[in-house]
Amino acid sequence: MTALEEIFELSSSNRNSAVKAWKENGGKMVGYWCSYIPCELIHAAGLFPYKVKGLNANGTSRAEVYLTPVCTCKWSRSIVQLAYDAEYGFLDGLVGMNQCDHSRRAHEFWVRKIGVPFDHFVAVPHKMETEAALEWYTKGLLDLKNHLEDHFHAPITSDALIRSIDLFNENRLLLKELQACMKDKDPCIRGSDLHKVIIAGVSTPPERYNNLLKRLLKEIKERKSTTDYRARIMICGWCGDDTTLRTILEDLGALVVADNSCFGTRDYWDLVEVEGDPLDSIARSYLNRTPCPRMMDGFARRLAFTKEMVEQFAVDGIILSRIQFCDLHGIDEFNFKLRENFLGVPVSSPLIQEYGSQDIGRLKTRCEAFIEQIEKR
Amino acid sequence: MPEKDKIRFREFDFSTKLDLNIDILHHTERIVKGLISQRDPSIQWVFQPYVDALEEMSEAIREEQPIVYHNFTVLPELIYGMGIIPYHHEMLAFICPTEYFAAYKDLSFTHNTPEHLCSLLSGTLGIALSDGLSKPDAMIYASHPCDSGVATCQALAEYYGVEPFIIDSPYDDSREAHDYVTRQIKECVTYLEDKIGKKVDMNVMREAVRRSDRAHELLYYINEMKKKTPCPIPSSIILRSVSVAMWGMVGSQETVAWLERFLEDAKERAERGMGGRYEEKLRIAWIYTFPTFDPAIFEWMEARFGATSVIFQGAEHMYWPTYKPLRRPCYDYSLDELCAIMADKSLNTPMARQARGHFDYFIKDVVHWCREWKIDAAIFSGHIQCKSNWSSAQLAKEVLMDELGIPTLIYETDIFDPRVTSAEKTVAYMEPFLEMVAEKKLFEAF
Ligand code: SF4
Ligand code: SF4
Ligand code: SF4
Repeated sequence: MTALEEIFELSSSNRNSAVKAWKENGGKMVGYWCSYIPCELIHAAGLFPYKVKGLNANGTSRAEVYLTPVCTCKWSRSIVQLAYDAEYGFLDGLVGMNQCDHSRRAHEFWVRKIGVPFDHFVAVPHKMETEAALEWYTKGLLDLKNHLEDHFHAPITSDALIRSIDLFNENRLLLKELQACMKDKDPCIRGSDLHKVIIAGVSTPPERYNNLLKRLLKEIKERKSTTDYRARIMICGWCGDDTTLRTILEDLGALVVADNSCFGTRDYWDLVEVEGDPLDSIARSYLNRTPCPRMMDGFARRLAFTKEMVEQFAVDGIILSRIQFCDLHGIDEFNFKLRENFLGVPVSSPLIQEYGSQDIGRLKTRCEAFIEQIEKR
Repeated sequence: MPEKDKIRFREFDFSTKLDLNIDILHHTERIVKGLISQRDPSIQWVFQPYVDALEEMSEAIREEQPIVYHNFTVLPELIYGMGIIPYHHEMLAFICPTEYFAAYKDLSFTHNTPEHLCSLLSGTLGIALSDGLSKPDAMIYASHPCDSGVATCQALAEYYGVEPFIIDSPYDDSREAHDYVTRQIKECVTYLEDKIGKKVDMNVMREAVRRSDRAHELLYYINEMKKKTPCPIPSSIILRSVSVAMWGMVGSQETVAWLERFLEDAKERAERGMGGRYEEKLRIAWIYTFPTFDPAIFEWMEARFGATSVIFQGAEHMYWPTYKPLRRPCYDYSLDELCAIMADKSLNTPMARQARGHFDYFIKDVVHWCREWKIDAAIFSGHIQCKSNWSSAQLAKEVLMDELGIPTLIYETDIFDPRVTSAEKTVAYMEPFLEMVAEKKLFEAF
């Protein structure tokens, strides 16, 4: 199997081969909702950190009893539906946080109505860069550490934390190397495939994943590169583990070369800088990383990051994408549109996706129109 | 003619294209004053908070004061305490005529704001985008109650190019959580000093906090009176005024004076055994929000079923189950102590208290109020953009039935915009439900 084929397998289902192998060996797994929960902490306790996803949910009807479809995002509902359908029965624990109103309630209902052997909630600050917020977050992570240690009888030593930081930093650097391929005029990997690489990564133990990335980097350099494309696109948007939009764009002849999204650069762009105590270092690095729209003081940083990506990856246009009912990414789109001139490339009007590939026709029409807009420039 | 057919619901005209680039503040002020003057003089006082809030905004502009926005869960006592008048930008959206509100809300969507943002905040953004607000010199936003506030803060900050002060809300109610907010409020004082160019005068700050404490105390007594049967407070028209007085103006002398009058009125009614206009047969709790666009809905409930709306969890209960009125002996508190007092109130103000944390806070409060105020039925008027609490509604319904035997109606609405669920449609949802509740009560009586 090539590395890419292995990645496709790992990214296509929740209970993938890495999960099966881990459980067969008696390993424990802890799920988490968002990359503001440091996987290093879970990993340093000897656990497999696994980011939950909504992939392949069989509708959302059971989840909807509590998580109303009137206004709850379908991604959150899909995850809870999977939990109801015992698709996440392999998890030995779950760590939630106040990502947004949808996912925090989804976490609470999962814990209350379905149950999970270990659960923990971290109140992540909505702001970066202040001592008060940093102390609050550090304390939250310390509580998580203590709880993990108690429940799993697994002391998390400073040395173990440092090893986990190194491992995940290596992982981030490898992903950045892969992303750097997108700077080429003729990149050797498609954006939709890169998205699957990232989805696979959060569902695979980091040791195996790093090896896989190294193999992939070697393999793709020998691959035929993509030369014939209509436009280089950056996607800014939501939490999605749904590759539909990227696939549609690339089927239409565009190439997705950059992103600012949760199963994307947000997951790996910023490294943990170790300075002093490892837990403090994790807290500082995570809190001050390129922020997502839940961080109320984060837009200026996100805008600067986006501009940098546009320049570095020779982006021709930005697609703003969100899932229905997502206020946080919704307002980001308002702000990005305000700053379209600063970004210097066309920025699409908000493209609202229905999670689970249900509105492909409409998305195709919108994407085609946007690519044509870029071509006419 | 049945009683219910005598109730006339408000008629709105959404067909006329409105000029939104008007001075909406003064336009609203004129309309509000005109409407109040047409009311029976004996009840005109009920609407005083609207007038006060609008006049304060005008005064802030006229006096060329620094313009300080605050979202409603940042209680304005902090701003009064700095010796300036808060600018009630969200209250303007709340008070302005419904047709304008709807048009501003729609306008915001044409500027790429999401349609699922809380409509109060879409309306506010629409006013901002039409130049209907004064440009802020400072903005204070808390991350509670919900994503809509988190989002609106970012939009306004970016639109006006103003650096906001953010109060991050903790998820729980622990001592540490309160200390965390206290610390941030203290930092906010420094931010305000910097933005408005003057140091805090401790006597002014103490006075603002003292007034706010007094307002909370008065509201506590008012709400305690509602435990009486019949409920002596005909809530329908006064509700919105309470929201304006508390969220918009707590910390001002106007709010204290108005609540004192409110309490006197309630006492007098209670002493005379007065309830609403109709005999009270059912006691209703609105758990969370309530339709704000037409008080005739409440009147219809009373006329048709004798159903008195007793409590309004998401708006009126500016105190919490463990709250006890505090007669603080003297106000010589330090800034730290004052910030701690303000943190307590900000974290417990309605919506903040029920939406910011785990759904258990919401559920526990619902049970507490329904039990203590002897409620027969609950209504969750599900504001369609209110994600955090919509998700608690079904659970609240189950718990209320299991623990108290109280049925709950859940329906979809936009509490500010009758185009989503009109008053007629609202009562159509209610009719079979209240019929069932009335029959149940009759059956239980035998
Ligand atoms: S948007 Fe932010 S909070 Fe939500 S999943 Fe992404 S990183 Fe986490
Ligand atoms: S897509 Fe938006 S609404 Fe859904 S979980 Fe992510 S941030 Fe929340
Ligand atoms: S009604 Fe709901 S959506 Fe609106 S501000 Fe309150 S908590 Fe937020």
